[in-house]
Amino acid sequence: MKLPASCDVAIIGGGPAGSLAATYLARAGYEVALLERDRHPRFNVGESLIPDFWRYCDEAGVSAKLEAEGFVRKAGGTVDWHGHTRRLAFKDFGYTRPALHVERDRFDWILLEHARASGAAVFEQVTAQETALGADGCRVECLRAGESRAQPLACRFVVDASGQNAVLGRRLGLRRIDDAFRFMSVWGYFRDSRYFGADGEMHPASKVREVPPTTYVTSLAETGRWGWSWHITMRASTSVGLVVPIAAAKAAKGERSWESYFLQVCRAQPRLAALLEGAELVDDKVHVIRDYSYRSTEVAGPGFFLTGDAAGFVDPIFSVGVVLSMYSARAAAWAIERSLRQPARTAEHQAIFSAQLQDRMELARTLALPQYELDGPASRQAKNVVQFSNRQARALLLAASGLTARSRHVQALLDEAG
Amino acid sequence: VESKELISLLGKYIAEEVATARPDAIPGPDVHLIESGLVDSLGLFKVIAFIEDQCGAKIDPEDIVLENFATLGAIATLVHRKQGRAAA
Repeated sequence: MKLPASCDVAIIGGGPAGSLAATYLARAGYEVALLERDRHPRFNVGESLIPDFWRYCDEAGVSAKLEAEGFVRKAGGTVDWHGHTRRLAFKDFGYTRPALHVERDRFDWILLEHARASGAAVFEQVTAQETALGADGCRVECLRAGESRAQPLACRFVVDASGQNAVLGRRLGLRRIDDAFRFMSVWGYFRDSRYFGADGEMHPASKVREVPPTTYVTSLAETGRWGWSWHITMRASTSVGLVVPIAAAKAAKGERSWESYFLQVCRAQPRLAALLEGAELVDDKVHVIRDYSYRSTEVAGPGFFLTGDAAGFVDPIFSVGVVLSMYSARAAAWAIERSLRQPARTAEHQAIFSAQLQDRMELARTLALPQYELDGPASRQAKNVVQFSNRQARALLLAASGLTARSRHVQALLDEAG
Repeated sequence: VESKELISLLGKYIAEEVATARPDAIPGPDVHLIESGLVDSLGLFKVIAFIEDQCGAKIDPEDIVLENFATLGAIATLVHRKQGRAAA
């Protein structure tokens, strides 16, 4: 398919934020061009989804396709934190729809194909080279893989949904590493790992359809009060990852390979080691990422919106990343639709989008930080989101925060929110 | 739009277009829209669009606090105030 010369909205990136923003806008009748650097299905991490994500997929009309895929339904969480085991079941909070463990290559692909089916023009293996942004219109230079000359695409708005690449945030100098979270993550995939069911018992990988798994989290004592690991059972493999302070990880790793460090830390956790007994690390390969916690000083400005991880990312601990991405996509699509209809009010709609998204990111930060100032302007942002949450959402927030020792102040936050 | 009319129009809109599960009755002016689950974080965007489009009230980011959106009555008060400011 040929790239158009112009469209209403250009979206950079075909992960959940980009595909959903494209879907919402295409369904509302706008011309959308989505530029995806890779060809789907492509690898992505972040396999655990809390049930809140269905709300955004319902709005996009893609829920039936996701249900038909048959992803692993998870029952809740099992957490070993500094010697205490705690469990959380989503059904106890009135959720009627399942939380999922998804292979992100499949999940993201379904969302991208749905954007295409909804009328968005989707271009794979096309990168957004240069971008000229402005309140009166934008231009994106689009380069197809294998070609040497970029083609200009004129549009009213550019949505950055480029994930951790944060294309616009970096170009515009908006991205700030969050110094409270100097972490790195090392993770890999295992075949034939056992898992913990909601009953607290260990089950073999083959039982995953009959006995729903929980997401298993354990604190890593050797990294002080901060580090932790995840264990997420999917259909054919299990994602296992460590989240550790960068300095501590480098010191502990020494001259060894990251694979060797990763396996040693996994084996040193008695219950995680029991789950992994006899399991095989796929391709003997681990992935490493650092400084993934950052925020953007602005998430919207003349001609542009930042969504998903391109706007910011906190910490994977409560599986809120994908849901926050989807929220940002819905909020950006709302602001864009309204701005295309009432251009004179664009700045106000962008301001509403920005305030709402920044508040939510602050709440995510509140949940993940062990020390948190409850009387600063930042906590007012988090409180504002809590006030707009219903009883079920607040109860889940409180229970989730009680699973680890990282978020004792969340109770205080809820109390103050009234 | 008069307050009473707004409460009735917006109540119907929330029941039919905003709530994820359709309620048995159209909410009255004092029903807590958030606690009752009728309006969530996404529904809020629809409500803002509705009152801007139907009432000509221009909503600013700082208006989006619970006091202004907890009930239909509170929303009507907000709209009244915003319209007054617009006219002044």
